[in-house]
Amino acid sequence: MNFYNAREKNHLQIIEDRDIVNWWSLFHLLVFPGLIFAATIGLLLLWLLRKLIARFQWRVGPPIYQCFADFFKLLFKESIVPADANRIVFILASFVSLSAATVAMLLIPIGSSQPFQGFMGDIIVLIYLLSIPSIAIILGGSSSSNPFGAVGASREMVLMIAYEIGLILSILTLAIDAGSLMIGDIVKYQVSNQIYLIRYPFAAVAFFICVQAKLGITPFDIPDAKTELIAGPYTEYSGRLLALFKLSHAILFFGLMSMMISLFFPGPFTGVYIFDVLIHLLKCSIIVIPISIIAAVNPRLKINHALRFFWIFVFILAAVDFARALLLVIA
Amino acid sequence: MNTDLLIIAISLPFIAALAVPFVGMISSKARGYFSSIVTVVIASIIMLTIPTIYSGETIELLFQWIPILGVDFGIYIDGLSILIALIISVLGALASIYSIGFMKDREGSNRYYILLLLFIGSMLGVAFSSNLFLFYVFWELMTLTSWGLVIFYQREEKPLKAGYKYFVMTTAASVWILIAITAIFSYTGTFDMRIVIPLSATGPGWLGPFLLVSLFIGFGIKATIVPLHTWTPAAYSETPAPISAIFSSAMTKLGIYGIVRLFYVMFIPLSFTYPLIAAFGVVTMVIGGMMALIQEDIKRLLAYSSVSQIGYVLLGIGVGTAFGIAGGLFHLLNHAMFKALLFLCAGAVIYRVGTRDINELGGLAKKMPITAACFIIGALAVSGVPPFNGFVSKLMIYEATIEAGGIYYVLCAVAAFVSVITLAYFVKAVHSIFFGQSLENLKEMKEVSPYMYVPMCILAAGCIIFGIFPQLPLRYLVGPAVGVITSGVWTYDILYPIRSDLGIWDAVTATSLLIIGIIVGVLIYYFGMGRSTTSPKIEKTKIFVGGEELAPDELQFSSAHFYSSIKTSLKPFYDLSRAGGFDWIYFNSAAAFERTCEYLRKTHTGSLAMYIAWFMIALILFGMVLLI
Repeated sequence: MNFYNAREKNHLQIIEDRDIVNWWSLFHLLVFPGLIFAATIGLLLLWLLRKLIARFQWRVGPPIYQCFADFFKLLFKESIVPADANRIVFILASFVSLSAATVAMLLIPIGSSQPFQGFMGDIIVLIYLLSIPSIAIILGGSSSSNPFGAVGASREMVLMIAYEIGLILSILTLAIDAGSLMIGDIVKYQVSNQIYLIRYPFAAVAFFICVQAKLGITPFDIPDAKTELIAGPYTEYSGRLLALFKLSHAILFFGLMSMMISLFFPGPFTGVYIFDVLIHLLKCSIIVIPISIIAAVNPRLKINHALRFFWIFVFILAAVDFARALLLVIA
Repeated sequence: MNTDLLIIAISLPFIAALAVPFVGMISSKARGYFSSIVTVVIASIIMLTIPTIYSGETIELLFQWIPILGVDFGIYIDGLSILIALIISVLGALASIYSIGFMKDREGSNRYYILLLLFIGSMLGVAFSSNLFLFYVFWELMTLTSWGLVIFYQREEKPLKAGYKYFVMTTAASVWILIAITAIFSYTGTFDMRIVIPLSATGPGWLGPFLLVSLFIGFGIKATIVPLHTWTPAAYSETPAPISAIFSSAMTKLGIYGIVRLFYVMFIPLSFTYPLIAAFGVVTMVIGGMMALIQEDIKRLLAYSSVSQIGYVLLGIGVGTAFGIAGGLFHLLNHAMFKALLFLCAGAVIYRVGTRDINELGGLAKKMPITAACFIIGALAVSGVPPFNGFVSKLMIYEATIEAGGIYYVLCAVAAFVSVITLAYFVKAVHSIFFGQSLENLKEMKEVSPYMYVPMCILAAGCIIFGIFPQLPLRYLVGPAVGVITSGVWTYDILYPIRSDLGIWDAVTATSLLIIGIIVGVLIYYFGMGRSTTSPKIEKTKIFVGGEELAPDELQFSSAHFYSSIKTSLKPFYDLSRAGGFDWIYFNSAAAFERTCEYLRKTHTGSLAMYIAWFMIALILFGMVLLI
């Protein structure tokens, strides 16, 4: 049958073979940009966030080692599991969360136009990998048999439904415009043309808001609302298991900041890799400033308000740029 | 490949169905073992056929049947039919084994196993038919036997109602298919399914669109395409669990098979066909997903979830490129596995607890660990979480849509969003059934018998294996099927890792990295434990609720409140669906049909003189036509 056009034939062309498994990938997973590097930077960025919020609220704020101290304190304490909880899911959730956040780091470019394990279509995989920590905490909170955990899990899930549409639309906008589902190609396209922060500002704003919700930063700290739900899904987590969640949260924080930089304002690349990474880190700290301002001046939203906010306001923002990208490509 | 074996496989279910009552004379349990052995034999024979089909051959068998019409009893097996037949026979075998445990203390096992075997046999017949006439015969047999299974609990009211609705709708589907088959026969002069019909060049101009619409309605009702899906919630939830598993994962697939076989292989379709199928797919997945979100009956939830997942299959095949069809068919295969798994797990819970309302369940994970584990695996797979199988097929579908461009970009965005909705309703189900506080009346529950959990474990293992090694099913099962549709344009040997122009997903590497990540987490955990001054053991305590004394019912977070914020936000949509929603099509068409019949009834006055008058008028008119 001949109605399959010539494009089909392209499937036959062997795409250049990449050496995907090697010992370097283990190094990347564990040291740079994976576990150790991302966790360190993530914890530092979280400190910066806390410090800035404190300063905006006329408090002194924590010292720079505070987040590390918190982490190691938790790591050396005992873990407690409720008697009614489902132990396997409860414990496994923390490991899965850390694992997925770490693997996601391999797909995010840091100070370069190429992620360490980039492959074609990696941006979809990235969206899915970044959702695994959320799924892990939902199942963890749900399996803890604590009613606060259950309410927290339900809110986390609703929040996920809320922000995911904005996230998907804004990322697809860029993928359509760059004509590639590869995060590396999106970065390269911006370096040689124009950064997407200028071309698609609405998508950038939508993505920025969604990232805050994904990280659960005020005003979107609805799932673990401290004043209502104790700690939401984290209520029953303690000691080492909580430490692992803190670690994956730090990695996720750094990962999402890096993703935002790669998607919307990468570069300029000097050519010396160390400097590029330093510029990248500087940009990460700059993004923390608006996040901290928003967190410092806003109260927490109610979950149904957040849902409406994302499904109407953020959706419209993302949809405007999505439509623009679509028109540009079709025209 | 020995064709005698195949003849045995096709005729065995019918012969075995006749033998069931006699086997039942030995002992009442023997029926279950007998039908399990029969279905396992069938499944093995069909598995043995796969290497032959994979090597590129097709199998044809012909027996003379009705010489006057030129209709033969023809069997034709190619890559596409073997994929569907494999799903049917393997799930039939697993459901049969599961039934040994499930039907243990119930009445009517004679009727159950006879209908089950006939049902499996007729579905295999649909998949293997080489001409439309035989296809329709088996299709009708399938409809009748499945109706018998829907009303299996015939003493209760709800199954009878569900069965009535199912019967009316599927019969309407059969009528549409029959009309289309007649039209095809009258313009091509043959029932053969292996011919190619260029729709734009055959018959008058209206024929193409007419065939497309009537077949789409006919197969769409079976494949549960929105808005033709309304029989599913009632029918799925009222049937015995193994039957709902077969309904969802095998019978609806025959609707898709019909669409693929006729629209993609037989017809050279019109230009608007593909985007239309994809658009219906997206509508199906959104409506199904949104409806599943608010269900509180576990089997209704799974039923709507099936509807939603069929949307992905349609989107995949609606892209129309080889890669998209591969994604769609792979999702069809995956959906058959995880949805059967979920229905069997739900059946196990219902078997033990006796209720389908998830508000009355809770904390079952400790009592039924295997069922819980299987259900969670199925839920993660259907939500498309890597590294389970649902992720791979969804990734292929997304990539195919992006590659196709244009309107498909929008469809891709919607599909990606529905994936989150899918996750959401399964989170609700998992939480309400297996987690949370265990209720007082559920304290005595225990795991189901091995007959029930072994099929579940096999399917769960399949979900993981197909997720980590997707190249196996893609090469040996999906590849030949796509080859039938694209006449072999798509070579599957280069499919590892999955490649389109856009994507490479190496599931093995990704999974091993994830496992390494988990090991590292465990190492960090033990590092902390080594330095700890406190007890290294994990302590067990009561839950922390801020020091308050809560009553047991306050500790339970009811599933009714799980998504109340979404329910209020989307109130108009849910109000519409509660008020009958999509059923208005049927009520309106039924009313229209009734009005038409009223007119016809006026002619049937009962007076002989009137009838003779009608007869004379007809004779005169006929004579005039002949004279002219």
